[in-house]
Amino acid sequence: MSRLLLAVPAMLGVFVVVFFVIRMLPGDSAEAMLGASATDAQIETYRAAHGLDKPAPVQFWIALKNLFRGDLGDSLSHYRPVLSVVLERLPSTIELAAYGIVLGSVFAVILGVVAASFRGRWPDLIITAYSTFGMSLPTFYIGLWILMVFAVKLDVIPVSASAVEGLPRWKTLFGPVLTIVVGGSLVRTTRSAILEILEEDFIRTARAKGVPKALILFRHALGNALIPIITMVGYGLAVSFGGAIVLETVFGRSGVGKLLIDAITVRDYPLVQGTTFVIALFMIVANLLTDVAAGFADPRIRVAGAGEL
Amino acid sequence: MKKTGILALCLAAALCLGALSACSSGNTQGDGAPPSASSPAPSGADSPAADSAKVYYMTTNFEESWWDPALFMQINDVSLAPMIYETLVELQTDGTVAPQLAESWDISDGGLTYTFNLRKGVQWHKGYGEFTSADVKFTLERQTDPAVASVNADNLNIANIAAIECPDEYTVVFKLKAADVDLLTRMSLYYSIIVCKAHSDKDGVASINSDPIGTGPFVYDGGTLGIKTEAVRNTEWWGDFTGNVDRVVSTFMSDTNTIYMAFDKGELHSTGLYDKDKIKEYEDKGYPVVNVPLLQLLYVGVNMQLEPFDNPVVREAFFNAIDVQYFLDNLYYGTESAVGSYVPPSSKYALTDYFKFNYDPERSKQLLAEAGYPDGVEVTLWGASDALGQPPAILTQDQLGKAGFKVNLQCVDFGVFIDQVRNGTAQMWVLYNTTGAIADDTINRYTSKSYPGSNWCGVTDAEYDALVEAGLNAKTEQEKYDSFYAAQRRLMDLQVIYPISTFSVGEVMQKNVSGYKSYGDLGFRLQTVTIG
Amino acid sequence: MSDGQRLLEIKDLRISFSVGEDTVRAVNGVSLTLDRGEALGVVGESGCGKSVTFSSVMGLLPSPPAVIEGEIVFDGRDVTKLSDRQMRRVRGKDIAMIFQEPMRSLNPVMRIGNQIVEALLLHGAVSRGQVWTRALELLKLVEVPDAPSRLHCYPHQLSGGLRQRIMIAMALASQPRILLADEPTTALDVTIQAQILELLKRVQRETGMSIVIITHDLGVVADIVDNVAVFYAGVIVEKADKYSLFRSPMHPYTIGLLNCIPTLQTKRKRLYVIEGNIPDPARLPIGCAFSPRCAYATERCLTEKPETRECAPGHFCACHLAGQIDPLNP
Repeated sequence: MSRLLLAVPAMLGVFVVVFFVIRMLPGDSAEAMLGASATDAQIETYRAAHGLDKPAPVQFWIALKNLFRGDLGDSLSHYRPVLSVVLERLPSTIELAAYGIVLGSVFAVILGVVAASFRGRWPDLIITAYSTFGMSLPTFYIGLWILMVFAVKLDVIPVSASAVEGLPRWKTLFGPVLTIVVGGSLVRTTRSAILEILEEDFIRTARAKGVPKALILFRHALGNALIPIITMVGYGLAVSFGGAIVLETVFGRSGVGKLLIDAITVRDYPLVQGTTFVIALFMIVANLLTDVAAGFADPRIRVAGAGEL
Repeated sequence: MKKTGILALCLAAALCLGALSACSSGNTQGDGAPPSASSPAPSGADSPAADSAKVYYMTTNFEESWWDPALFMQINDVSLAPMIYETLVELQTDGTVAPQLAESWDISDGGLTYTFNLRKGVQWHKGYGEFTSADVKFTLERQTDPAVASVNADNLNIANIAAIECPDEYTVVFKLKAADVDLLTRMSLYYSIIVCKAHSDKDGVASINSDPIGTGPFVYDGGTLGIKTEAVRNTEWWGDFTGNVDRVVSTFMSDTNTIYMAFDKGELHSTGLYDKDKIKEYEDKGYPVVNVPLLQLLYVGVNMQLEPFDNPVVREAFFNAIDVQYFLDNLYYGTESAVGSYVPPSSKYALTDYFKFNYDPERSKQLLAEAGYPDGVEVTLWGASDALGQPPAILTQDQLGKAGFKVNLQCVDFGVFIDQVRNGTAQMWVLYNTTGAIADDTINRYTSKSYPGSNWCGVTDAEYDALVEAGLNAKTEQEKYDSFYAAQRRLMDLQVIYPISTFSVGEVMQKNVSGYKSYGDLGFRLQTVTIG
Repeated sequence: MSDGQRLLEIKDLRISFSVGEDTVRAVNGVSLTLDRGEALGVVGESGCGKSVTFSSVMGLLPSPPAVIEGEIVFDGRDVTKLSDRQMRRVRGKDIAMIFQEPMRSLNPVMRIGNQIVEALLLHGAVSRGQVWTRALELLKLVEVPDAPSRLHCYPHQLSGGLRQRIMIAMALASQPRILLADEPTTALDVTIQAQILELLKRVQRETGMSIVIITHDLGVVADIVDNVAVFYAGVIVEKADKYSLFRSPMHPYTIGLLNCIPTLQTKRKRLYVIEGNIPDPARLPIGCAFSPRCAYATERCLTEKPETRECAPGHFCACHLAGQIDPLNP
């Protein structure tokens, strides 16, 4: 509960900081939006129309008041309420995060477990090689490579998934999810975590009890490995809300990451404000979920009251 | 066990989110097929024989988020706008205008009265009624409506229009305060797109921004600007639809690699290429590539209010320091040409035969020494940080370096760049300059009243001001030409802008696409295009 | 007390590992027997091979890399030849093992009850419906107070002594015939040590199972075992019933160990130490492994490995000079 309460000042903090930082960037909305060939008259008209000529503290106060009314203001580049623009882009990002991170994590964990159980033999070598490779390549490159292989050479998915009508969901997600699985470090983390745990004394006890190898792996080892795994997944989830810009660019998805970058480029202050606010909200929620999940996985860190005795 | 419980919860959550997303986006009616075949059943409103519907897939890497032409800064601000909207007259590639929504016109009273006879029976999209003179009047009058916040009032020279009269439904009369030699050209450009009064009356001022109603060959059929927009053929179009495109889908794609891959795979019918290497590659493979000269030119500018460029000798050195031929040969592979002024030749009033480039780095160093910089001079060169802007910037830095200028190159985010140049703190910059079809704005920029501001070069020259003024107020076209030519000569003599070359885009098409036509206003239109 | 029926027989067990270029000889010809109901104490310093020997009895030594020679006969079968799957049926069921650090030996993310139930279900000892009742019984058997609520606890919520009791409970789950306890009290407080040992003694008496207590502390075994085997450098240097061992030790090492234990009668100002260190198991001496440190070592000791002989009834010793050394005046 106290965690939730702490979230409120955190969000307010984000709001205030973003407000002033974005305005510290050189170039104002009018200039950035209208382009190099804009005349002075056009710029003045634009500024007057959007209230950009008011001093910053006044703008801040107006924005703050609106925030408490649930109004994130109107986007300067979209001529619509910020909230509506953000909500429009949110499903794509959530979809990517949910399927990408969740599915990606499941696959990654399975691969990690397989690698650990075949340590030193060929399945491990292949999996470790591929995951090292994937970790060292930039996401951008992996994404393009996946497009090259699966879209161009194998024709499993279209290059531009967003352009084609009526595509089954799995095809639109295939590229980004695969990129996340390939490029992530979860396979390695899982593998190392499991190998480390297999050296622990309680594994010896389990063996002494006569527990079969598979059960040792999946119940005892993985059960303990979930702790670092959940931390990594949680981190990935939180980051994916704002940070999927590369995936969005390569795979032509219109998510919140791209929205934010574009908004910053054209100095659309309310949109930057609103988007970061929503992203921050999601990150806080993701962190909370991670903590709760970690608590389930590791009773030692469980918040008192959630456990018993 | 608890763990399985958690896993089950997560999976359940993921499934719920999946279900939610399924409701909001996308349909799952089977597979989408690549468009090169004759295609999938579109879900469009009025499609003819569904199994042979021709869908044209195009892409854009730049799109604004508004449909209201009063807010447009150029014709392709919104990729489907040229196909949905129309103007009174159509600009031809030779600079003359042809009838479009206006069938004929008279100019009388010494150029102070323009009478337009409008085309009859033109229908607005989606049943908003017939196009009449009331729409024209509405379009012009809303330019001064604060609720619209139009940025194009000056482009239309609204201040010069004393009155707009509609004697009947198909006649509209402009009464001007002073002669405007380019009024007809103005009426052919993006800022003169006629919008639907009935639409605004019925659905509100904001509806023009969110839902475009036009008279053009295609009707808007949903989508989101900056993501994907679609339009279907207007079966009631007044004009001659010679192509066979039933539907056009424009998708926003920003990554060039992805665009090339999609085009190669047949998922796109055409795309604009700026990379000269790529143009060559596609030409070699036998794809039709249409070269479209843009209203842009590459130039290097300096601020004569700042050191060292306040010294005319330094500026003369600068004018000897750029190897234009190298740019033309190595950056553009001979596809562009040198220019005669800071107005690109495709713009009306461009001076084409005055400035001749002269590359003499030794002379540049000599002049710098004369000016008091025997060991060269340090300057900061500003450029844009995008893929298009960087190569010329780097090349410029290199060449200037050989001519005695020690260049500190700053390729920055656009907002930062514009801040520097408008505040008069940038000594030097390199940019692709965009001009209008009429050069007025560009020429007008360098007058004293625009400094500081859009007069990045800091020119405060009374003679130049006078020439520009004369041109803007010219009573005849010849007067305007004379004044503007003189103004350009004057500014070139001041040696603050070094124009390097023209700039064009190569529209590459799939081999089964034919009939593409170039338009004077550079709009991308498909009514003449045939697929297959 | 043993009833004479032989349960386990280790015959000339040799275990080595290759580490890099060296061969580490951990166990060099260990032979011993365990009867039903017998309580055996196995004593030796760290690295003498005692844990390795009994780990291989359980089949817990991964082999490779271990090279195991010799026989370990249990229930008429040589367990060194059994596959892992076959061994799993023995492990935890007929032979159970508990270990040194109970905190680390219990799965930190599993509740105690679940861990015990796992042991119960593994070997089909009890039907599903009965497991929790049985688990409670086991906890009571090992004297865990407030057993019902303890079942829901996690290991980190319990004290060291409790955890070791629970380890014992888990080990007893399927009523094994042999319990191997590898340093069961080393990590515990002295007072708790005594309690655990008492518990082991009582359980052994009540169930009649055989028990092997492996320790480096002679004092620990004194009370509860019947027989003692002393390990040094991978061999058993002396084995006898505890009275004989304590009263008349024969091997110089054993004598030394016993002298190391300070008592109230100890008059010396400095504690007795056995000079030198245990040999590197990769480079064992040619003769008797203890000879470099032995005060009585002869030429023969240095070159010839001593055989194990029965020097007195039931009292075995591997020393050339067995019986010739006065334990009271070393």
